[in-house]
Amino acid sequence: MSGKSQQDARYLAAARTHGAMIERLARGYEADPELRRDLVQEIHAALWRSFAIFAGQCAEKSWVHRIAHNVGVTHMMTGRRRRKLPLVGLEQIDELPGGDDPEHSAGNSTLSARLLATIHRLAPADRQVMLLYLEDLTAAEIGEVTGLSASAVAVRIHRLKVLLAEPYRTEEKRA
Amino acid sequence: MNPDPAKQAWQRSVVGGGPPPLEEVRKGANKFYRYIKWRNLIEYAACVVVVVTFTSYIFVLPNVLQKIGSGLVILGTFYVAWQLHRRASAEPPEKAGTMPILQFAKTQMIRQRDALRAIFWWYLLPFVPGMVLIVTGTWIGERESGPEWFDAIGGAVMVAIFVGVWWLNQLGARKLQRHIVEIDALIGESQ
Repeated sequence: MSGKSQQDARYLAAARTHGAMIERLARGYEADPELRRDLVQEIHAALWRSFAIFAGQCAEKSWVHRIAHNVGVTHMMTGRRRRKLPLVGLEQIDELPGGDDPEHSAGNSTLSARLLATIHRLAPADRQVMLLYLEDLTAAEIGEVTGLSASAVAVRIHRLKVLLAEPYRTEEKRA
Repeated sequence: MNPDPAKQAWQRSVVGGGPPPLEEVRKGANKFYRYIKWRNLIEYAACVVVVVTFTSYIFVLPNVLQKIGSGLVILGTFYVAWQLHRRASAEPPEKAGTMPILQFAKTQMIRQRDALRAIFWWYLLPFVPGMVLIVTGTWIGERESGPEWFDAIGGAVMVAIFVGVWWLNQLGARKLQRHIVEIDALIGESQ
């Protein structure tokens, strides 16, 4: 198999495996549907190019996440749109936004919308951790993708667990 | 199935998303390189403008110091263009896979910070000898015909522009340094 067709084959396999994750990640970095389509294309383009130099430097999953998040962060930081709220760290968020109606908060669509609203408020490093955590990566994998120290990952995952358990605690209190 | 309801809800929010057509991906992959080519073209065009202008000065300006100065400005322009490529070119996004995200960002920031910190040596200084000779030649040639204060103001404006460019770049370097320190804290490295 020639270098180019091998690159194509490896890209296609990775894109099939991680395609949905890339779409979700793009939602975490871009709220506007039109711009999000561009972002998804940009991620796929970088991913395809990357398979020309991928030689097992890390797990393929980490490789794909690194490429995708890097494109996402660059997109987010170079975007010229005015933000309604400043970006914050996880420690500054006490509860998932829009949780006034606990009756509906357990529904998947509402919960994912609240998660998305939280993600959009986060500064890059915390946003990456939250997205990777929701994609079910382990703490070690999150460290491998982001480069965060083990303690920094542990602190953030702890905060996330507390934050994500909050709607259910509120519901229990009311019941 | 993941028992965590938040992870479940998130992963169910988008379940499709196969690869786009390969032709489209290949076309998009060249976007970054098209941008780089376009940026290089602008730089080359700016160089051509400077070289053409100062080459004409060599023939038009009367004083020998002005002629030598114009030649030095042309040499300085080539040096700056080369340094711009060497120091300030962006890493292509596909390289991001080779190291963790924060490490990749830090490497790029360090490169940019060092380029900004050293801006005097590679961006400003190469023009100084040529400009000094041109100004001196002008001053000598027009000493008797024109008012000296006019030359002094011209020189002062030039110095102010150089200092302003240097100062703005130092501010940029300091801002990058703050980001680098933040990244170091996150990845558990001290400066």
